[in-house]
Amino acid sequence: MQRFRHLIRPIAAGFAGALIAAACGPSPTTTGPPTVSLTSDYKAIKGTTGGKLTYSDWQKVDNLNAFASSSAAISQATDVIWAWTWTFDPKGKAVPDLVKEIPSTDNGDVKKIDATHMDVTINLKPGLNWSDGSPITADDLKFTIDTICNPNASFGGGTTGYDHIASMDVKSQTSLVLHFGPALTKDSKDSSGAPAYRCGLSDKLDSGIYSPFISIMNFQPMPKKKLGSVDPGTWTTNPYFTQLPDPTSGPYKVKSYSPGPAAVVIMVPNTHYHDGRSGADFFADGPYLDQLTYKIYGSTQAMIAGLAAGETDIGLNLTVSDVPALSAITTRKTAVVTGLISEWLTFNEGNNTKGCEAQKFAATCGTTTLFANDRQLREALSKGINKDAVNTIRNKGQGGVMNTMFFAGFGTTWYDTAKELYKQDAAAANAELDADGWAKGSDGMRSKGGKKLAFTITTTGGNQARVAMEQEIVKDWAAIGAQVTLDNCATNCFEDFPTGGTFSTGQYDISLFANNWSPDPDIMCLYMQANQIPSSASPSGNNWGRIKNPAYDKACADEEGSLDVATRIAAFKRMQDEMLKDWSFIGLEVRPDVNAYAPYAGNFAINPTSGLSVWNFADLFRVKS
Amino acid sequence: MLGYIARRLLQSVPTLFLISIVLFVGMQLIPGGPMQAFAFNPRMSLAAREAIIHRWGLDQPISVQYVKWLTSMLRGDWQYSFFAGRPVKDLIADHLPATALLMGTAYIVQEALALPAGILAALRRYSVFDTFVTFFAYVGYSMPTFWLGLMLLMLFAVFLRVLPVSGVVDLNLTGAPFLSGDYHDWFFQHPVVGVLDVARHIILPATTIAIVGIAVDSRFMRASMLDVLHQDYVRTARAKGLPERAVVLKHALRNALLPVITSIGLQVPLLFSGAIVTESIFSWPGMGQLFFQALTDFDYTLMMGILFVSAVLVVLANLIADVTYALVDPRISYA
Amino acid sequence: MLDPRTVLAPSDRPAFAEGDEVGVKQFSFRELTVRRFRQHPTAKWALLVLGIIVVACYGAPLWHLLFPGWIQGIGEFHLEDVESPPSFKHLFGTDQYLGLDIFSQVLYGGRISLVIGLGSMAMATVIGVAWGAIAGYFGGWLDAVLMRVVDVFLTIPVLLTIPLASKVFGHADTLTIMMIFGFLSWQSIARIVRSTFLSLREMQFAEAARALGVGPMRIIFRHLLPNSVGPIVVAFTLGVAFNIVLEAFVSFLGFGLQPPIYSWGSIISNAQGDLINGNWWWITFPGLTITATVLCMNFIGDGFRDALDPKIVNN
Repeated sequence: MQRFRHLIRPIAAGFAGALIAAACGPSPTTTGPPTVSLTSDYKAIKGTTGGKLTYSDWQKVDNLNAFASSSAAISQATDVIWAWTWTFDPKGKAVPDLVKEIPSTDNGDVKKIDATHMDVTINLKPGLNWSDGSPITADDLKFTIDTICNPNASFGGGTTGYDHIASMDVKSQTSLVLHFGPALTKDSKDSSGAPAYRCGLSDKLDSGIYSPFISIMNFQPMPKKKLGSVDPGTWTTNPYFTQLPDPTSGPYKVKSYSPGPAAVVIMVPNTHYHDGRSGADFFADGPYLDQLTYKIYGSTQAMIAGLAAGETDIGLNLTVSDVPALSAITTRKTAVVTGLISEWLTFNEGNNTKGCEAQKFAATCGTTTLFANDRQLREALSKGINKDAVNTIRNKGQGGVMNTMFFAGFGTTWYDTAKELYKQDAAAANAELDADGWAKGSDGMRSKGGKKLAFTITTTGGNQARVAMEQEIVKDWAAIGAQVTLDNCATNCFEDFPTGGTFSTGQYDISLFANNWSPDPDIMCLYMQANQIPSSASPSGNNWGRIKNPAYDKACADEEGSLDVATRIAAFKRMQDEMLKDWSFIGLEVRPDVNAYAPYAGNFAINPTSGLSVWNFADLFRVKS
Repeated sequence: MLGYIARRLLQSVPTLFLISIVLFVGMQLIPGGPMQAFAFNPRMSLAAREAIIHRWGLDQPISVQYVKWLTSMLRGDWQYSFFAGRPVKDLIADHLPATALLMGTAYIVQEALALPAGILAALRRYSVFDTFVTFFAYVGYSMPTFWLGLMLLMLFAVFLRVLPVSGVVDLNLTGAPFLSGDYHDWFFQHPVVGVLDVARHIILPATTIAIVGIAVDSRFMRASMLDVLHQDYVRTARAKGLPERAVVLKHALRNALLPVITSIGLQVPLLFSGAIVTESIFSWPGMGQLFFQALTDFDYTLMMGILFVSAVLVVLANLIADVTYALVDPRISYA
Repeated sequence: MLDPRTVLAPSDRPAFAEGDEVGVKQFSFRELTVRRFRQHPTAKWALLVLGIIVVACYGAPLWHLLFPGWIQGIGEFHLEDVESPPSFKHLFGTDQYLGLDIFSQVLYGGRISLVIGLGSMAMATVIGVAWGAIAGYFGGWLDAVLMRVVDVFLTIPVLLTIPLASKVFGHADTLTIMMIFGFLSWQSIARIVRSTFLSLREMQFAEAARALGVGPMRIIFRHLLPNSVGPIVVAFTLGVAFNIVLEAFVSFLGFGLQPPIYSWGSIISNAQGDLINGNWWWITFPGLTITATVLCMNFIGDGFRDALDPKIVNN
């Protein structure tokens, strides 16, 4: 299941939301509390059994349904309750959980059949059991994937990659083969003549080869014997996900759960967790604790107070603004790690279709934005921003400045670090605008051909740090003659095309939001490929900037369709070159991840990737004093 | 008398009806409509979206939807919360006790302070005490409740650290969340500690809510008392030679209390909304916090359920106030 | 016995029309009211303080021009001053992110809050007076219908529907909020005007006018309305006070104005996340300002009420 959500969910009034994402390479922080070292590989310490620990977040946990929501707070519970096929360590490397080994061409689990077909075999560890003692089998895997692709399930978002699977075979009790190939499409019919399509695919798929599948297609198997006869459309209201999940596969199972903004999940050890795991490289020795409690506080300050009072041992999902208060707590350590959350500005290179509701946001409706065909304008605006000030305001200097448009967090293998671009150069920006025909008026603001250089930045509201950052950008752009206003899309920002989501329907000039990347840079293609432009035919595309660049399309097709790493790297480097010419985005800064933890939380390993910091809670123990 | 009550009850029905229409239409007008809740995930396929629309009946005309909604509400079927996946009725039932506890405590504190203060201020008019009560009432009435809550939080919980920042119980102490099964077991074993624990947590939020009520009620009590004290029958009682205490307690007080009691009923809606922000500030797991979350997430079914409950409560409160008033004021005819 | 539902007991003595000759110098009703108001010490001080606040807030751009180092302009900020406690340069301290001067913010925010309070009540008064006048004067079934509508509005919990209303309009700007508040505030004024008219219309001078054949419009405007001014003014003042707090509440919940436009409520809303860091100035001063403003208005409103209500005067 696709773990990574590429967007930040709407931010509740007054609070900042942060999703924890995948990282491949840590960025060094300059000042502040010491960072956790991500340079050495994770090695679990053998712990002592017994004791209790409590960990916390501040955003609500309404249900225990990992499929139905993109909330990190919920995932921090569900990741402990259900095991994954594989997960990711703090460095972004895939780590087997339920599988015996990570599928790859080296161990023969990934086989390229021909130019458009490949087979991936998922081998479970033999002897694994659910918490009630019944075996975890390949049937459970197939059942889960079928449900993900079932349109009635409405899981909203997990189908990327699965739509490349043409069929599946249960080879044995622990082995499932996924046949990737040109899948059925919406015009396909099955043997009885009824329409048959796979996983929400709406366009003909030429090739089933999907190289980024490792980062995207790990999932948590669900018990077929418990949920097999339940209509997937009712999973969201099924007591299995809303009251008490049983049976489950994670290191701890739920003893009691009270939901909401003051949720408490009390968990006890899963006695069958160890079945089938002896001798494994990871998670072979847990679980250690007598009881693990997940407590939700309604607000960050309540959680910080809870940490100070000793009521909770681990506090997750904090921000840099909290660091001063956290540093005052002597019984807890604070860790600040930059992961893979970055914020960027995206130009709308199409029409701003505000007010085109009646025409259902037809591509011809609305007014063309200033950025549509003006590469020099985009370049000038990029050069005009003081990214250091932005980073200071947003992250108190503890994040990282995005120097390159190609997101550095993917790791230096994928792109050319020598092609650094960013340097604030207001003089060059001014010169470029002058050359482009944007003349300065008497009030200092520019205009060209009767059109003023005035536009709006649109973002989700309610986040003071972000608003403060926007005010810096407004100031910087006013200095080069642009008149910028701020706008909020509140809860309508990320909705899809048919619902009239602000970004999807192009109702903006420049958008500002945070991105939650996965380890594989293929994820950028979702924002850049022409076939990802949202429309009524393709309602959930992510190319909100309406970028139509054949060079991007070719690079993306090349890297997705090849399992050879060298070919992929070459394709990404071509993509990077094109980005340097096209100036489609302005990356601003990388946001750090802040956690507070007690020194007696043994094996606690902060994970700024999609693994989340609960990824290894099977190894978590309480150090005896 | 009964006829009057019955007539007022009947009159409430069209009011409730109209309110329900206004609420329902209001919810539909919000951009995106009820589907807003599900559309956060842009990668949802078109087929999945249509499946949801069909399942929730959102593809039917508004009039049909309204009738379906109204009948299901009246039948007691309040559907499931979009986000929690649990029945709305269960959620409301789970959160109601905490709010009831908070409201009840605030009310008791409020009246215990306001009524005596108002009476004494009226009896000792123009004294220092009276001036103090009046001034305090003005200030309390002028302060935004949420600001007061935050200031109290900052002073007692952050700077002085004598009171907890949030919640109803200390999880380390009880080992189980408030009102869960385990909590009941623990509470019966340690009743005194349990009560003290809740008391510690309830002081700040209850005070926040109560202050406005104290301000309003003390002034109203004072005015009502003053009004009564200048009536002829009081003067008569004094002239008859009755001791001052009897005059005050037997004659004046009883009459002065009546309008105040009526006004207490009218304060129910104010308390409910005061609870929204107070519960959010202090992370008190009650209806106010539930509604605030539902509003932020736009949890359609949950919002409708809570609004329905509050509308009924308000109408009931007004009805009780009217009836009480009619009962005690003989000048009102039941025409 | 006091009826808790009526805001005021209507005056049961009609005012003398101006220019009446009675031999002794008579003060007109207006003059009498002002005189009694001026004898009310708290109301006088309140008027003065309120005046200072209003002038300070509305003159903010001017102060910025005169004292640029002291009062910041809109959108101006200095990162190096971030999170500093109150000092001479920053009377109310600065915020956590940009080094915005809180004192300047409070001044600019005051303009928004005051305009919303006054504007919404002005609108509410116009609608409410018209509504109540028609219901009170004509009576009968018209009165019943109009008042039923008022009842419906009054029973809907206002503080629950405001977030809903602001969601309907998307993100709200000043004008939208003003109109929403206006729509939700006119009902009590309508009730007051109606009950005033109901009692006034039975009085001799009104009967006399009707007997003389004076049209209803003239009666309403020339005779009934002027005598209702008292209760309306009091309701107006108290309503402005209430709406200012209401606007702060709505902004605090996050449903009102969005940054970088700040009203008093949104300043407090922004500040609450920072409490745990010991940043007390950001939240204390804006709240004190709201309290002071609303307190003054309440004093003034009560001053008017005392000046106008003969029952209390006689006591």
